[in-house]
Amino acid sequence: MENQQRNFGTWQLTSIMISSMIGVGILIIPRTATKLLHQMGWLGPIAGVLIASVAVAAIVYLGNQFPGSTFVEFMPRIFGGAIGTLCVFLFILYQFLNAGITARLFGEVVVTSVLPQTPLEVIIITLLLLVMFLCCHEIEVVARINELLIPFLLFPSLLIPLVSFMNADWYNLLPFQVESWKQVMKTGLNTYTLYTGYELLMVYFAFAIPGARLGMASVTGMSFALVVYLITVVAGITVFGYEELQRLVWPTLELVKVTQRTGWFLERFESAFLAIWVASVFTTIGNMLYATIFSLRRWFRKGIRFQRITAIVIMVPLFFLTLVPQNIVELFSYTQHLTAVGFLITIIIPILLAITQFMRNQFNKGREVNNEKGGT
Amino acid sequence: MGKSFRYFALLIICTILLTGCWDRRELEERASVLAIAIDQDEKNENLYKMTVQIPIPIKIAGSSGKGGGNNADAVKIMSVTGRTVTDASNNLQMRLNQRLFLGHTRILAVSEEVARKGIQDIMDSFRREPQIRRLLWPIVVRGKASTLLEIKPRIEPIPVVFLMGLIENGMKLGRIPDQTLGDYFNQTSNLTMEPFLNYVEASKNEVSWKGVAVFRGHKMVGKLDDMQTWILLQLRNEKPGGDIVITLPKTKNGYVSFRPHFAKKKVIIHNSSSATFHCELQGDIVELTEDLKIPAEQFVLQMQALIKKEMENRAKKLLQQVQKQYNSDILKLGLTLRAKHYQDYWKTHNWKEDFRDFPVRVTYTIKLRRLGMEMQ
Repeated sequence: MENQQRNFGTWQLTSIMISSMIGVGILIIPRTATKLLHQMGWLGPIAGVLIASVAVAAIVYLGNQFPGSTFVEFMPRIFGGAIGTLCVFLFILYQFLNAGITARLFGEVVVTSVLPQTPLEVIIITLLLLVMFLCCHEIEVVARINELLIPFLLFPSLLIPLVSFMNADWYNLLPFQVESWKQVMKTGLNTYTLYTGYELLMVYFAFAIPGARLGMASVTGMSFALVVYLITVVAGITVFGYEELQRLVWPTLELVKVTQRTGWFLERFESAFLAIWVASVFTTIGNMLYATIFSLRRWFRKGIRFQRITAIVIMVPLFFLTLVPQNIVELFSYTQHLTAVGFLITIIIPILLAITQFMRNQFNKGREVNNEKGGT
Repeated sequence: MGKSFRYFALLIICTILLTGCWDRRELEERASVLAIAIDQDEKNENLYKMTVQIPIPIKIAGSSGKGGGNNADAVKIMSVTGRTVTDASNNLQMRLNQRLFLGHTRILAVSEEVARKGIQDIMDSFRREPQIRRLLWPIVVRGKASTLLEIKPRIEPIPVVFLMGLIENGMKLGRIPDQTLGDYFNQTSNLTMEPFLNYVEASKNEVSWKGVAVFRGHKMVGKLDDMQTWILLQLRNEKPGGDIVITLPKTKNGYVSFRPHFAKKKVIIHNSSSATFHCELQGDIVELTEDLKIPAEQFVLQMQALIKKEMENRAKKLLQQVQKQYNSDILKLGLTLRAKHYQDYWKTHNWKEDFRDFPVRVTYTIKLRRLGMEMQ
């Protein structure tokens, strides 16, 4: 399996990372970040990035240790057959569930705000068909699509919060003080889900051109996501105040809606925003599901034909999975549960992998030295 | 053969899938509500009476050609009753041939009577409805709210457009506060402040802005007249407000008019036990009905002192009313206190009650810049 072409550049990896991270989460982040922290909610994304970056560092380390192999290969090599296989299975399952929930959240936003008469199923099916089409192609296509869509995502996601600062009341951000650090930790554990998507790098790093700077790509990606989330939260707090944010289902969408009177050249900004946002959700779900299907292919050591069939077959359970939550309250509680599970898979497993690998390296080094000694 | 068949299939698929939204409705197929007025029903106290204004597209298009012959009929005004707002709009739908569309609603008029009873129950449906824009203007109307929709201004074919122009223009001049529905929502959620809404009076052919209605919670508790509102605008939003006409002392019938162009304010809180608003007004003398026959240098100083005294008196009256009578912090003083004196004041006080007794002073600095086109 090592004969796979490795041709992802640093910038392509960065764009895969950014567009996997920025997705549905950006619409609800102002609310979730301020829930416990109130006016200090902007600490949420910062605490989240601190947690996530440990795992990212671990993934970069693993990527450098095992160039050209995905988690499917290196997990069993580090943890041994049984546990490694279990981890691979959990990872694939998590990606699958996460893609389902994300697709459902996407459908909910579209149904509540734009197309109230359209059945939810239709919206989800169209999205999934598009994703399925992506999944039928080779992996370079994913990189190219991400690279192509990234400017559409970069520019507006920074511009919109900045424009909305025009109706901001900065006193809403004060007083500058933290009631308890425990709450900051809790919010951090909650908001780190914004950055999930980085774990897909365990797949995509395998295709980096030899010499591509993995660390550089991840640092750029993480810092960009941090900046976007941070200014979105700050814009939410300053425009609405944290009390009002608790009452809004999709605070960022409301933010876009009230950003029209500023005399900007565009009125009714929200349609433009939604168009861009659809693209960003597509890349998120696409990257997730592609990683799932591609790792299945690697796992069973099959070819592109297997991947195509899997892509088509897997859409059926995925579609029914998206319809499991019966209402929006249930949907948000599922999201909460998935966050807790995701913590194990996206944080703990990569870190454990990296630690084990590091110790093994040290041990091996020690043994080599011993061997040399023994030889002389 | 294969290729042309493929193109043909693509063509067929495109014609089926790219026909547009399946549930689209053309503009003239909707009953666009431009304004909603909510009153209490005369016969039954528990019912709301909802009046809507719907423009008739053909009449508007025709009126420009005919030179506005029968302007009055360019809109249709309908009244329905219901137990809640949604109930009333359901009843309204039964009397309309097209689907009601609230996306273009710009004015929400509430009668003083309803506002004094509280409008939380009315606002709930406006919070939930995704079509409603947070940028529409809620207005409290003296007497019946429906009179506001029934005016015939003649200058504009659609009464609501006239009213919108009136508010928008006043906003640009800095005389009418820009209080949108979103602001109202934010201010009612926010723990530090109270909302206020524009207050108008409508007669048969005209509408006139009369100041603002002050709320406490969701209940209207009183009103401020235009001059007091201008002080409020200066102290709260740094808007100049309207012209100030003062009787000249020691003259029979002399008046001086001062037109502020720029307002700047600064709030200083002393030892978290009292507050001072410093307000600086820059402006011109625009009218002087009696010659005072004093040197110009002295005249400027005298006028500045006179205007300063008058403004401070008016501000004192405003504070008296807002604090003692209404006990409603529409000045955003609470926000400043929470932002800057969280530990030493905010934590130990209940602002909703303590605002009444918080000592507030206002000082003005008048900077008389020009005397119009006259030398004196």
